[in-house]
Amino acid sequence: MTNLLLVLSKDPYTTEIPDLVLDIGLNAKEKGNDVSIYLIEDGVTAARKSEFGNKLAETQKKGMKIFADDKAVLSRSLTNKIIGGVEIKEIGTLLDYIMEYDKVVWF
Amino acid sequence: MTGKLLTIVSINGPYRDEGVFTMMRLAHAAKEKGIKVNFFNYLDATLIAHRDQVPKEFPPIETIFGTIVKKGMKHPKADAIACIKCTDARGVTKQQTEGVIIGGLYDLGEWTAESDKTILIG
Repeated sequence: MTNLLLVLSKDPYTTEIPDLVLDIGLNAKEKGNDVSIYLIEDGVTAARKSEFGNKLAETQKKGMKIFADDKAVLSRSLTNKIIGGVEIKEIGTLLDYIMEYDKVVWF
Repeated sequence: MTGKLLTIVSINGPYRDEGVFTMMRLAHAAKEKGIKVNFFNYLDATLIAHRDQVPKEFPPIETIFGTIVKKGMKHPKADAIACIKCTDARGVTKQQTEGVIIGGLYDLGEWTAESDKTILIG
């Protein structure tokens, strides 16, 4: 089993990349891997209470952890507008995860 | 974490999105944690270290990046490489800020082999 960290930096309304990240994450999870998604930059908008936010919430129910960058959330005034269960983290934590996870892919 | 080595490959130019600033934030966090960092600027990211940038509405990224490189993440003035094919194509080979070395993908291969982790920000 591999620990996989998917870092998402793109918003869900411009490209299909966030959908791709969810697909990859869910497939990896189904194959028995540990998967986490870390939202950064415009990627934090994926966790807004919205249609895509609901998709993200579904992945949480399947055991995927969702993290979000504190500054990206704050600078977009999203603090009280994101789905439950998303853990807000600072950049040092992302760095720790980058060094600790088996595989890290940046989108 | 102290003593670990991270190589960050960047492919996007400055002022388009937050990618370069994320790279800088990671570099500062790495410094605090004692993690060494290599920067490999590839494709449009070779514009990050272009000298004499004067953006009107953004902080000058060359100054921020150059300061980090000059202070040294691993070996002062020797831990940032700009890809020569990319700099030549963009006409910026001779305009790289102090501390950025002109290199190539073979260097990236060596850094990847040496590093505990290599990530691509793009």
